[in-house]
Amino acid sequence: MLATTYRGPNRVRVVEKDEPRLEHPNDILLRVTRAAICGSDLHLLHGFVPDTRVGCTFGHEFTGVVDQVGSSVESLSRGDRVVVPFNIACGTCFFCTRELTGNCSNTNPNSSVASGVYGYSHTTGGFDGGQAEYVRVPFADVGPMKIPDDMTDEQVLFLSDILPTGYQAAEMGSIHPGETVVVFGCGPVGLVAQKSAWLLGAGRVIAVDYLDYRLAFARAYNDVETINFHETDAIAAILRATDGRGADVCIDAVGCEAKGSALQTFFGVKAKLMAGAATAINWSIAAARKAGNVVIIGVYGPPYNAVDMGTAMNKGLTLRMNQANCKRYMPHLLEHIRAGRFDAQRIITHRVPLEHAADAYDLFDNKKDDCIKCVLVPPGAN
Amino acid sequence: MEAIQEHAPVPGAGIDADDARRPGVPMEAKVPHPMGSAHWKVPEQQPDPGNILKRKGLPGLTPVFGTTLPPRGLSGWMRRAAYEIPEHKTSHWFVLLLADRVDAVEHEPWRALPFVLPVVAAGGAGVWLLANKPAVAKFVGKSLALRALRKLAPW
Repeated sequence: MLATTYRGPNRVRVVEKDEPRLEHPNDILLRVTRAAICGSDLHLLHGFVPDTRVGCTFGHEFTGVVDQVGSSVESLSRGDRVVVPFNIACGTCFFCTRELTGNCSNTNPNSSVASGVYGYSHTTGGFDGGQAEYVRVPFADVGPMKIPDDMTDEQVLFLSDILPTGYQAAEMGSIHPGETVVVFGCGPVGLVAQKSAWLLGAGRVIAVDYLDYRLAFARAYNDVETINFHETDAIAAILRATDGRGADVCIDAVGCEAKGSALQTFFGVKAKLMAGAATAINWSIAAARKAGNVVIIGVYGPPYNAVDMGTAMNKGLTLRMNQANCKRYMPHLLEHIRAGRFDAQRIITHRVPLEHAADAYDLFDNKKDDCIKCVLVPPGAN
Repeated sequence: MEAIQEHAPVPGAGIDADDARRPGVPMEAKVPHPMGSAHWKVPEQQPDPGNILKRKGLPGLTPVFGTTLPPRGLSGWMRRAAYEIPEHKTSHWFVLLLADRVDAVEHEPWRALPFVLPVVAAGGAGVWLLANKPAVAKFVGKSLALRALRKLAPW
């Protein structure tokens, strides 16, 4: 089969690879119909995530058709169309039974920091991802959700990650009606977090980025106020906009490759002496009002970052963060999609044949052609 | 540039303002229950192919795991060493990151040339200077002797 494979920092290539096989009675084999490239795939591509082995296939946002079914699978049959959450979860461990499927303890022997994740290095279990023609899906009775007959794969594709991740980010902000929410980052997850902030009752939503085309998209897509931090001091602008008090909720939807601080970029991104740049976390801490909430949904690898904990402590901030527990959000967000409150398809700016995945990575990574979200289409998928 | 805009009401604004409408509130479900259609108490164990690395302190493999790309070569040896270090130690992660770079070079050795060539050139130049310039050799010899003396007599 064709599959995108990692060749070392900054290089991916599409190659012929053996098809995956059923390895556990509750596995299914999925023929992939759509696979998105996520911003967090770029952290893998740039070599930030430990134990990313040459030859691994990325991709944790995908839909597909069930091709083979393991002996103990009860809820799915061959031919079912499904969307698969990025977390691999057993459904019955201590964490899963508390609906924390992103923290499942039964799917990742390599590390306790996260559950198993598709195509996200051996630090999250060493599973191949969905940027291929076929992918193995463990615990098929737990994660995958059948796609309703009247909906297309692309309509629900982002239930796999960015919709639950962005929504959970806003939800963890404990937004009260009328509050001011600042979202750092206008990538796909940031856009969803902004939209979610409105749904959760925010009175004002401010988006921060440095790319004009993304800020323009955020204004058009989410009706938010915007700040370009290359043109003005973002923190000062947020303080001005909030009578000097700061925002009630700040959300870091950027992660470990944030721009904006030469020091953080040098030590975290260039020299890799820590797990990336914590600029968006520190800006969130600086822009939040005292006793406000800071939410971290951007991805940071182990082992550590230079975070301004002193300011967070002195301001009495509440810091909340987690991988998205996708499964618990899927039915609720499906309802929002049906009602037209989330038009995630509009975020897709580029559809690229799987064979040209390397070009898609180049497009997305280097923000060419006003790219916001790339979706890969395997051969034969409609 | 700051763009502050007046806007019409956003469709659906405030629809999830009530905590009862928020799927993740409370963060931990109060009554533990199986997720999805899980029909087991303890999941079946995936067979162990014998080449899966696991973190220090984990008694056995988790019920499922990825079987892709078992460790091999120098990078594999480094990864095995890294997994002997508990993951709460920074060295665990840095050895893994270093192994990733070695892995890339093992697959495409020419990628090491930009780093190897300058080191070889500098080393060659150093050897040539020591062999052909007595003043340099004398200076280096004196420095090494001084350093050895300081080690022996740190006061």
